[in-house]
Amino acid sequence: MKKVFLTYVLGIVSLVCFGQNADYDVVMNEAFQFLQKAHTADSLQMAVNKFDRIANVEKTKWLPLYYEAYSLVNITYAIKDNDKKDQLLDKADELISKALKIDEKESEILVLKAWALSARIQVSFMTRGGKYSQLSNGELAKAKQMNPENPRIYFMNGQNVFYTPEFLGGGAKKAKPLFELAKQKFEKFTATNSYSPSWGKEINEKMINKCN
Amino acid sequence: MKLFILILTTIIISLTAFAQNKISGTISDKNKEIIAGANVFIKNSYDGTSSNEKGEYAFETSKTGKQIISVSFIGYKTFEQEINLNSKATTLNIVLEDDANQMNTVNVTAGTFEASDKKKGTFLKPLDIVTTANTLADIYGAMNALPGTMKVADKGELFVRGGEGYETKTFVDGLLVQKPYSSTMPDLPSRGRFSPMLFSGTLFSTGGYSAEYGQAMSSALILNTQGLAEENMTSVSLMSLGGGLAQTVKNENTSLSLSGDYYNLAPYYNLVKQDLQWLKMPQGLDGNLIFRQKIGTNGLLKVMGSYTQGSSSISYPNFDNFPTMYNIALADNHTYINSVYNTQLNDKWILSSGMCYSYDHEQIGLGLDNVRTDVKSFEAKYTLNYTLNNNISIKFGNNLVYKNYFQNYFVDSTKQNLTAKFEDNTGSAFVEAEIKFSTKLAGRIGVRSEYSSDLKKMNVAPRLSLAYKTSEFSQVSLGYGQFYETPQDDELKFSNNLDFEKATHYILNYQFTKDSRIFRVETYYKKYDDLVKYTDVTPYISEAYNNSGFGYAKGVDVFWRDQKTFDNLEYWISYSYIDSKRNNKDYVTTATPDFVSNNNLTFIGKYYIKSITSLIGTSYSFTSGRTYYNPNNPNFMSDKTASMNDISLSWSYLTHIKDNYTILFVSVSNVLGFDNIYGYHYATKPDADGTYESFAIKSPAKRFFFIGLFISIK
Repeated sequence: MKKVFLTYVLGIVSLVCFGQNADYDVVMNEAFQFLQKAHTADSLQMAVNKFDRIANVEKTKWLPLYYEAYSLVNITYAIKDNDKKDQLLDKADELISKALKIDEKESEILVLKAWALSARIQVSFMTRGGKYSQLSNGELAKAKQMNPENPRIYFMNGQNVFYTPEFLGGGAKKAKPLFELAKQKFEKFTATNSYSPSWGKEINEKMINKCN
Repeated sequence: MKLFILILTTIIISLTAFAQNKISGTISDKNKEIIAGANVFIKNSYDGTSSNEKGEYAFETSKTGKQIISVSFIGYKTFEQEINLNSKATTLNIVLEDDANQMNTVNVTAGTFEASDKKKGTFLKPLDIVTTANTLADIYGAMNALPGTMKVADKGELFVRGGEGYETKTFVDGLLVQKPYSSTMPDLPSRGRFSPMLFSGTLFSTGGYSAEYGQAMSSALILNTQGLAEENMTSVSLMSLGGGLAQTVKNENTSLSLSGDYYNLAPYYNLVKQDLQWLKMPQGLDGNLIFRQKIGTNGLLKVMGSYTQGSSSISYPNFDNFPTMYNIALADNHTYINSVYNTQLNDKWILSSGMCYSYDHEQIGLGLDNVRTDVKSFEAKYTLNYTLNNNISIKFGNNLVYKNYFQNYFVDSTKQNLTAKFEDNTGSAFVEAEIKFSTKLAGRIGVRSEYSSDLKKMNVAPRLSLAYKTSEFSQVSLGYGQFYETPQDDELKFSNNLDFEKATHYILNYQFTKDSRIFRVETYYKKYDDLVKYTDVTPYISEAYNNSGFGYAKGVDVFWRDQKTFDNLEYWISYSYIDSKRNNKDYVTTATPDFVSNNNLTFIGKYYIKSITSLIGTSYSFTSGRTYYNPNNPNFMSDKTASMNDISLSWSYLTHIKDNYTILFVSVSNVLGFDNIYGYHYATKPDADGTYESFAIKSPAKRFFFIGLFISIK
């Protein structure tokens, strides 16, 4: 009787005490699932806020910062205001720097950094194209050194080449082998857990079709 | 027992149930506009939510007691407030404050045009300069397309708001450039020494510039060079007037660029007839070295060195014996080295320091006479920038400029050597504060003081500007300042009787910027005092010079730029009206000087055609008549030329040669062949019937054709 009672009390107490701090896994999963369905600027902003709240609590984890920045970069492709794009990318840069301070060898963060740099080109291709694609490719090269099996490195590389005009040495034809290489890496890739970065496989397929 | 457990469970469950506190409310800004998408949460917990499209938020938290609620949204200061969660539902409506560091807050713009890759609201990007028709990638040519400038096609320098060419000074990385233009034959425009591609930022001030700079009565052109080069690259340029090669190598923290150019106008002049008798067509070469080194985490050392050499000779009318001709031969070489070190010392202090050295050697043969001029200069400067807080920063610094001028005039007829020389050390100090009184009102107040050892005089120049944001997209700005300038070399070499020349500026502007469109109107009054005057045309006599000259300039500049209305088309229109008179130098009365044109209108258009990857540029400029001195007219400077027009076209074709980025650039100036006359020279003696013969000043050819091929090899 005593045993049952004690177990029961302990159970309730843990419910009361730890129920206050929901599990990190639970909140990350919830936010991650929300992000998968967020495609408008408004819903992406909500995703930014979700990850921001988690990042404010979990000071030793790079992943919430990563997804917060990832959502911000996504917003820039859903809006038209150029000044706003730069503003959001400035914030993304801050978060990416913080994430790198926590784990400077993480290839996923470096791929995201490369993407944030390419995103700057949206504002002005003529003046920014050369500089930012150069910087972006530099980050991808670093990411390759950290983890050459990360498929998103090759996908992002393909994107950079695809959107570089032909007269500058880019274009669909040059991008295609990069996307095919990414496809092979995607096939071999398995995510660490249910919310670690795993994006890109479907859009990589779409890009291969575009190149045909 | 069972009852006990039941009661205990109920109590505990009700405790946890009650521990869910509900918080709701609205988020808005100071103008009562709602903010959607703001992040509202309890500090140190996951609990929170985003405000909806009506600015409303609602969420539950299991935290209790004293907690901190936090609200954040890009563009606003993060809001934090202590609240007491005691199981009652809490309603909290929150107002967010603008973040004063935001890009669209007010900043001082009176008299300023900034071209930079980074800052919002700048008027030109450095690439704009290269792609504007009729500028031939000359920075000064591009600045001439902005309001506040008067087009003086026969000189090629920058003439701003009633001011002479020497009243505009060029600064590279904060250091004064003694001779920014190349030496040139009379009536032929000179060109800037520096390629616009060297610079990441250009600030063209038409008045009221910062106390950090001095020695320019009208305007300062402030150029900042690029930082570390971005990639290893070889550039080849082939042009109708010469060619060049440049090589850049870089690694993580260092970059080095070496370049050399050779130019020779003979092939072009032989092809396109020029109305000038060239004896030796212009040719020359230049070499440049640019070195960049990152030092520590925040420091950057930049070293730039350049050497230019050129020569030419023509047969030019001798006005003392009109219409006979005599030979003018020009040979010059110029060495320029500048070295700048900038670093962020800590959170609050930024240091900029630099030194520069220049040596200009010019030989001019005038018939059998010969003038040799050597100018050596050295400058050392430092500036410290202290950020007191988000709203106030203070800048101060010192600089010292040493100049050594020597000229020898060999007169063949008397075999005399007439020398003139001077040496000057000018030391200066300045302090300036930038204050953001609120997100709507900002100001800049400073004072600069200079002492010249050659003049043995000192000046103190206050400067003040304010800007007030009248609406989200518009602002009003005003500026006041005193600007002193040491008299020109040609006057200082003869006289040690002189004082600084002075201009006082009063500027008011209104600016509207929205959605890639800019409208700007600026009005100004400029008063000139202590201008150099000489009563006789007898040089070498110091007492013939004094500072009794004076003048004024007033007018309105209007600017409209639109990058949005038409797809792939951007254009701008700039109009300046000016009324200016002076009584200085050898003027016999107050008159409008010959470089002032009352109305200047420029239209620039650029259209990008994607299918042929080409940028088509066009420019139209209208310059109203300029005065000129006619000895046949008893009224001084009362003649005016007809107005001048110019329509120019350019085509930039972007392509690649074996995977290397290539630009083909073709331009034609004065396409319609307007016969523009800039002024007249007159014989110094009247002919048989008492008339002074005239000689029209025109461009040597109506149209100027230019073709260039620029290849970047990686």
